[in-house]
Amino acid sequence: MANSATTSRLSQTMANLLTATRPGQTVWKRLKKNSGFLFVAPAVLIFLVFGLYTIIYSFVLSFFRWKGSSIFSLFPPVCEAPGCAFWGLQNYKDFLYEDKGVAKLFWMAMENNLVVALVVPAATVLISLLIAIALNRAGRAVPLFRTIMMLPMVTSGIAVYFAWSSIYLSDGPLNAMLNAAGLGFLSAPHGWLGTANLALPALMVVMIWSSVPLAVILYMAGLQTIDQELYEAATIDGANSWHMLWYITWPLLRPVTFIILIFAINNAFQGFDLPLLMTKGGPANHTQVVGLRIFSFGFGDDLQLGIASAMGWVLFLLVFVLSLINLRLFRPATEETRE
Amino acid sequence: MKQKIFYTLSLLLVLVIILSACAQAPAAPAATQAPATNEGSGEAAVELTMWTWKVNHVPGLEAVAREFEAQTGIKVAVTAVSPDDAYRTKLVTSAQSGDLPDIMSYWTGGDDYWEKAGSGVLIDITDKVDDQWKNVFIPGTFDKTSVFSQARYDTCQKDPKCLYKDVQVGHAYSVPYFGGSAYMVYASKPLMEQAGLDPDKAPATAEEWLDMMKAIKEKTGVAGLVTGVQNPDVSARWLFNPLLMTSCGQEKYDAIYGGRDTFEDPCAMRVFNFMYQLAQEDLWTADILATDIGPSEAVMGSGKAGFIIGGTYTLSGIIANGMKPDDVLAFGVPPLKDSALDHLSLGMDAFIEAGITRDSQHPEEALQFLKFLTSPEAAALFAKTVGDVPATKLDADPAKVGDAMAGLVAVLNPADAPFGKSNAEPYIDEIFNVLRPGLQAFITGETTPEELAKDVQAASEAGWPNHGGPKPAAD
Repeated sequence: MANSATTSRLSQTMANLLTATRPGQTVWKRLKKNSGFLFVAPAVLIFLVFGLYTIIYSFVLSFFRWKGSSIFSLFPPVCEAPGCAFWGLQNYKDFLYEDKGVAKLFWMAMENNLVVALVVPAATVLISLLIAIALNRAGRAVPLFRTIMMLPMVTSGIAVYFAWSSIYLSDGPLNAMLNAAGLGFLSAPHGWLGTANLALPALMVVMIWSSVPLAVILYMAGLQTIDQELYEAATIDGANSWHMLWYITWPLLRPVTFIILIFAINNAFQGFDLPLLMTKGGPANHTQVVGLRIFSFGFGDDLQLGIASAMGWVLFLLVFVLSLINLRLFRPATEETRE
Repeated sequence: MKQKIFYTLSLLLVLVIILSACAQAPAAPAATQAPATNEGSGEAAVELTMWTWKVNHVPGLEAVAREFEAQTGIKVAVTAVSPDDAYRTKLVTSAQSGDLPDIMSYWTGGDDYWEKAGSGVLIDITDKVDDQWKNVFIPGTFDKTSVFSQARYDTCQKDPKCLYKDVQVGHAYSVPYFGGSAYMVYASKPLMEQAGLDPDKAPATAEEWLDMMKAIKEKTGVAGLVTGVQNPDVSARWLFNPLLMTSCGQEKYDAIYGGRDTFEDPCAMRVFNFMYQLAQEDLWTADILATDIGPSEAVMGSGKAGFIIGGTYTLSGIIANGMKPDDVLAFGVPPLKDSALDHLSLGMDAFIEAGITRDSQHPEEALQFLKFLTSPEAAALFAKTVGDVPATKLDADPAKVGDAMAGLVAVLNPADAPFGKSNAEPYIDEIFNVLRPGLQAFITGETTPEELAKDVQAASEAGWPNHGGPKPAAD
């Protein structure tokens, strides 16, 4: 009897919950009203499971010394000794300054990352903007050029690695072209990837080559949104091409530039596939990047997952700060444009 | 209010889903003991799983597995997860989810290996490897690197970062099934002939070897030397170390690497100078700093280099890339003139171990398979199938192991090998982190022998305090 009463009360509670806050409002109406939340729920759920959980996991892991053999988990919290030990800030200290060998390599990698982050995004923006403007005036040939531009994007990474590695060989096409053009003094007798001061620039060329197409597509989309009347008015006012580029096109494309820079800076800091495949960080560590160090500690010979996580967090903070600066630099102009 | 309840319930639902997704099986006991051996107990439908990262070993392991199944009825499924980093990741995730195979291959004797042993990933088989079983292994393999040594124990206890402090001296968690020797050089006989050199005469000294490289380059236009220099470990371990061993002798070599002597010693300086000279004389093949181990074998196999540095495992690579076995002259890395040792005896090192994991449902059968895998019969089958040297004693009988393998087995002399007696390993990272890129910097022209020796010595002096001070000499 008591059981029946409890069940009845429970049913009533559930019914209250499922029925509307106001009389007559059904669950369906309520769901309809909050349909926005339902639409984003799958994405949020996926982020919580595969994103937020792993983010928290890696953050916690960055304070532990662990090579992946013993049990380490957050739910329930387990760090099984002796293969796992709480390490506090030691992982951070080790690669930032305390372990001289590891720290030296980390800062060398960071230096290379900064060079890449400076050169690749700037070159990508410059080259892709010029190409996009040129393509925008190509008339009926636009689809053809756009297709050609897409090729680097759809080519598999391994194919790119093989192709560019061959191009950079001492007897490869690049040296052959330079020699044929009488510019042999510019060639790299030991190969472009095997020469200390040329290896990183050679990799940056590949990075720029692979990032330009997406930027061109974005710029072309941006160019389509600019009202042609602005150019007509400027022409009437006596503006030349340079004036129109500088005072109309560039400011109105700033939101696009912002997106491209965010992508490019992010890739410059987090990308490590090209150095891994083409140089393995050599010669003599001249193409080491932080992503490669993280890979080495996370999956490679140096296996130490705590340090890999700690490095990942330092890299994240750096990219985050740079993105904020980027946002700050570009936001006022964007808002001004909207007004 | 009810709106709050609605959102709270939704959030709770999400959290329940996350927690259930993240839940895991209870942790396995850290130290698992080996089961009692039950030979011949291959009862109904037992299927073992074995993982490796060496794709080229799969046919050999499968051939052994087929023979094992024929004798015991126990099936062994061999899976390769390649490349190395994917294999490491697979082991890490499988160790967490309790899905490790019955038998796991792993690199012999490094920190990672002992950490896996100490964490209970591999079960302790110390009392299962009796004298009869131990006797099948080539000296310098099981006894040296599969058994936890006093030197490694001492190093670990002094190192605050060491994660296997509980492993006891004398304990073993696996057995080696693949070994060999590094420090070997293979020469192209046709190129030697073209250069007017005797194709059957190996150089007695490193200086003679250098002259041979110069002659080949001058007379044939083919560069002298290739190896996987893009991998920074290669020139340090395969060329610098054997030259240092012969130049300084085993005791001094141990003292230098152990922090009790200096890399600026004249015997070490001669080695730095020799390696610098190789770069200065431009004797490496083109693009050497962009050449990894595999591609270097292709370069040699296609006749674009006079010599390749490698190990016993290199021979199959250059033959696979087109070189005829009869065109190859093999010898150990020759010592510098007036070295402490007048030649380098090549011993045997274990390279790959097989151990039983804590997740194995059939540990007794797995142990049976390990015994079979390391038996002379199965090892010969493995050697003949894959062209790599097993860690088991073999007859140098071409009929059993193939021609090339018989030649290699005959050349090894573990009893006299200085690296077998050395206690320099485990090397400390601090030294190698400077030495490896430094040797590459000889080729890029960014450093000199004096500068590099000074830098490596500074790294050694700075590094050893992190490991409890210099390593004592071997007893």
